[in-house]
Amino acid sequence: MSVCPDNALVVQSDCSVLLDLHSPRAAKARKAIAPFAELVKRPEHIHTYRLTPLSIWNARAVGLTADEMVAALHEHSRYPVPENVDRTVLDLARRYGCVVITREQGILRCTCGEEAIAELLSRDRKAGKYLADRIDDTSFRVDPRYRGMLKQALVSAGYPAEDLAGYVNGEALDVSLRDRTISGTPFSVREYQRQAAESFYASGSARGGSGVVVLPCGAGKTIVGLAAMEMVGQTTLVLTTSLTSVTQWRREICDKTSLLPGEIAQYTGEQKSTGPVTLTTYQILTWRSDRESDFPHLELFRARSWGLIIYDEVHLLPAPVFRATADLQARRRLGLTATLVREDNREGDVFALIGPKRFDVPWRDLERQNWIASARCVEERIPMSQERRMEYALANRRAQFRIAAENPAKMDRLRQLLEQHEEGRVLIIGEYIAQVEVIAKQIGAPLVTGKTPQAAREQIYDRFHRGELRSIVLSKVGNFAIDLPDADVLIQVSGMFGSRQEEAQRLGRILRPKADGRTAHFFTLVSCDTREEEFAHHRKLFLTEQGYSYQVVIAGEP
Amino acid sequence: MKRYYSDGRIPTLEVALTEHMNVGDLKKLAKYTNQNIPTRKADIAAVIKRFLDGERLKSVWQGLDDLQRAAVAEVVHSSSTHFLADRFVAKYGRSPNWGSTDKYGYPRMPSPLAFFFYGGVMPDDLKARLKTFVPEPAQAKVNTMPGLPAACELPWSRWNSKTRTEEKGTEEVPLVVHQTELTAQRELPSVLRLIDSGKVSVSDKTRRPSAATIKAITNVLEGGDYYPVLPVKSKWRDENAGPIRAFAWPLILQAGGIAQLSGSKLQLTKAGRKALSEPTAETLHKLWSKWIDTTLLDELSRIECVKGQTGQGKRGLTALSPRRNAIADTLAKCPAGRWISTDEFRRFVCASGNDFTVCHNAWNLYIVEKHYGSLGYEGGARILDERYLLAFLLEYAATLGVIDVALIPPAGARSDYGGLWGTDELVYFSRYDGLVYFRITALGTYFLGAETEYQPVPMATKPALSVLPNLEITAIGAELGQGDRIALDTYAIQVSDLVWRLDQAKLLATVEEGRPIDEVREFLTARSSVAIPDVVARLLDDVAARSTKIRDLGLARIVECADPALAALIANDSRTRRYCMLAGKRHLVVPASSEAAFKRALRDVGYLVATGEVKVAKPRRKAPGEKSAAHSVGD
Repeated sequence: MSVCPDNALVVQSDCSVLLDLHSPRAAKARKAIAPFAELVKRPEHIHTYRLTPLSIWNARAVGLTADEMVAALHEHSRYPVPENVDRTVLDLARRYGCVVITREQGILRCTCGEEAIAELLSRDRKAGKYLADRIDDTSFRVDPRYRGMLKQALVSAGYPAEDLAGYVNGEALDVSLRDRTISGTPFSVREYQRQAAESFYASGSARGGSGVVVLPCGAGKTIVGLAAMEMVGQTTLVLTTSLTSVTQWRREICDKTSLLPGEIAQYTGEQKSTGPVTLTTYQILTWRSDRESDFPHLELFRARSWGLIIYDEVHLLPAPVFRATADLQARRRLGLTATLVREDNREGDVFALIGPKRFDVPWRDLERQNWIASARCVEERIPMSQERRMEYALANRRAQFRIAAENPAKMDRLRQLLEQHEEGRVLIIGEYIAQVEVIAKQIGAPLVTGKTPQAAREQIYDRFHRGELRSIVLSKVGNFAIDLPDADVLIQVSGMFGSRQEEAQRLGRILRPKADGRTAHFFTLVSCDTREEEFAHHRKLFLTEQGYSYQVVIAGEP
Repeated sequence: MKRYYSDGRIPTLEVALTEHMNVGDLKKLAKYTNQNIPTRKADIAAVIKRFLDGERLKSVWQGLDDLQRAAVAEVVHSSSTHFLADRFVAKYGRSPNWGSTDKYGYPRMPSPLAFFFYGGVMPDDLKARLKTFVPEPAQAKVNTMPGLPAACELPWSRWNSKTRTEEKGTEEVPLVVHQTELTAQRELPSVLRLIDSGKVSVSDKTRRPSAATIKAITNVLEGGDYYPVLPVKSKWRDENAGPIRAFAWPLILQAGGIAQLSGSKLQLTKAGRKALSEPTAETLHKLWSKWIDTTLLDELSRIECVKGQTGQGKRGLTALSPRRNAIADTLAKCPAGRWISTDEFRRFVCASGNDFTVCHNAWNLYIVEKHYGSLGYEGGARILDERYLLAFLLEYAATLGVIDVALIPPAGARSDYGGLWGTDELVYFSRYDGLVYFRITALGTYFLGAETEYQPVPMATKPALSVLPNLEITAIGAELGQGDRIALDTYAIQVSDLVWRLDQAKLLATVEEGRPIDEVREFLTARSSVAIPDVVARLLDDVAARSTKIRDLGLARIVECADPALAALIANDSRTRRYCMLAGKRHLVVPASSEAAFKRALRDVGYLVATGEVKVAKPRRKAPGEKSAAHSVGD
């Protein structure tokens, strides 16, 4: 194959694929590879995709063939595709579907495509123990209790199972989405949200019903969950990251579905009840009295015959919930997330236990259609006073970070930013309570920390919604699932070391589309020549890789 | 009695006739005067002299044929009075008519041309008179071709043992053309980058590149070296030419002051670093000029079958610069863009008066064995001159982009050395034997002075890189040059086939190795298809700023004091404090430059710096009844 300069893809021998956005064929190429390549980085100009076992298996799960994947690479590649990449794709794709889990006459059966694979897997250290009961040369009887664990083990062994065993039905639930919300505004599910829900449900067939929908922050993942609830029409358990998120789900369900408040139960630290739709948090499910005891609240999974379990922010799913989910493979499962990348690299578990990726939409497409706001990110470097520099220099490494984070000079810059954005709706987030307390006091804004009672928090958020408050100061409780769609300026005065996830989540707070289409502003205040700069650098890289433009400004420089 | 002049000239016609001719020769010459020939030598000379007096000289000259007149004109309008037969033949294709000879070649009856030359020399006074009416000879011309034949026809012969006859024929060997003008301009930065990355080793004695270096340079050359390495069929018959451009570049750059030896590696000089950002044509021009005068390497030494060059033969070798200047001057007279065969060029070198010789005495140069294969025998010196010419043209002129070249493999390309003793086993005389044609490039006309300025050929420099805000550099634009690849390896960390990542630690290391951060910035700006993102610009600024915040002030000595109080005393004493500073509790740092002054000042204070192991004196044993006055010293 010769070089085709107009083609947009460059396939590298390490199975990464570069997409040149300036190529005239970039859009077509992106569409062609998105189903089977994981988008890893999307900075301006060049996006990086990676062909991974999971991305290939995800694609196979939605029906894409190996030949179609290879053909797509060849069609759009600028340079000849390295031979090893072809081989890798073909080999990985071939493995998906080699092992199928079906239900025949009430018996769960695991069938391997070839006898050799059956032998290989029966001898596998992890999968072998679930494949002891042989039916014939290529099939095994599987204990339904170990369906999830077997799938996990098969992913580790490199032969992901295609689970066609179907689902048990939960209690029926009459739920439909409203045309007009309770508050009176017209409501309809956006096209991409509907597609996401349909991809998940797959018309109720055994090929659907479990999987993950990947949508950027602010793209309305909750609505996808509601649409899925409507399609499934059965009792639903929703797992979220925080109490605030539970409240938001509740508000959304009440506002946009036909369900009445009494049908929505909350299983949290404050209130432990179950209902046709039950909202809970990962925190309560993973609570236990001591390190040796069991997780008592995991019983919630068996409290009712759930027809659908929704995992919000599935990339944060804690290990015990994974274990519980392994027992729930007969239930329909929907994962919602902005990224499949997990800090603990347990993407394989998400694939095996929640399901393959069912839907993904390019972030740029949503921004172009104004479904999410565009954001301008700025790193503001603030010098420290000479005394503080000396204090910083003499401190131990851990203390250094805090000294830098709590640099009092940040306060001056914060005030300037507040003046510059006096029309904006501002969230100020910090890592250290003492620091955010001082800030809240000095600028006269309410403070929300972990200690703030839920009712007080809701009250503050409501006042912000109503426009009575211009700014809120938040500790790291503000990282996740606070729904303040009007916020358009976020000032991060300190962050948790190099956490990329935190940076993305914080930015997500201001990405809800604005009525007037204005750009969101994300400021990070960082002390000059300190470790904070290093950590900010890592976080900044993550956001640039997500495609946000980033600017670095040194205070005092023209 | 014959008088000799150191430069071999003859001042007058009279001297020539009386001192440089014998009676027999004079009589033969006098026959052309149609006068009675006297018997005495002086009288015959007078007759001939009268015959050439005044206007009669012109009529004698007019009686010459064209070629004879050309012979006269060549000497009359040259700086010498000698008739140079070889040069004349090279220019006119044959010798003028000097008269008849006998069967052994001895002169029988001279032609009228003999009135003008006496032992091949024209008398000064005669030359002055001739100059008044003899027109200047035509300039030598070089025969050129607008295009090249597709192949070169090489004769072959082999003995047919069945028919017991020698069969002869010709074989067509395809010509491979190397266009060097742009190649040189692209290769120079690549080689500079390679040097900058510390991958070029040369011998500290010969300055020649090592085998590994040649391999590394070959990898960065466009399309590799002229001749790819072929598998050796037999250890007795290795037809590989070996490195040519890969060998030349390190030497050219050293000769040009662009690179210098540091340990066993070459490193860029200040000029070399500047060359990375300068137009390559200008750098190549400087390199060409410097190479002409360099004594770093005699191109003849690259003709490895010629032995004795470092022994006795060395004394007979001529100076390098005049040889190269002779070739360069001749190249300057060649038209640009027209193909010239190397044989024709050799003729033109001679015909245009730029002939040179690489050795005065070839007897100490030899093939295989000194007494057997000496190049002092007939034809040896001529082959040395010709091969030197080829070596210079192919290895240096072509490498620097002065000439395009058309090559065939060297083995069997030339058979002119077959008559020399000791050459039976050679597959070629030199690796340059395959240079058949060349043509002067536009760059060459500029270097050779035929043009005063060079209009660079627009190089297809499509931006090859995209510098991304996540500090990654992707090379998915135009095909990435080897030089750019080396630069990227130097400045950034490669993360996949076509992706590099800028990293602060790597950039700091780059600066530490002497590469200014602006060089990185310029490189990225020049190669990137997109504007340098703010995040990247800031990173470069940060590195630039951080790289100047800590300075090396040189070596210092650490001095330990017996206790903190003494250290503080010395650090604060007005006599010593200028030369030292406190480091910790008991230590003082003394800059090496202040060491002597510190020691003097320390003596003034009443101490000295003990050297070696210090033995602490034991406290004196107390005498019975003595009061306790001892106190311990230490930390």
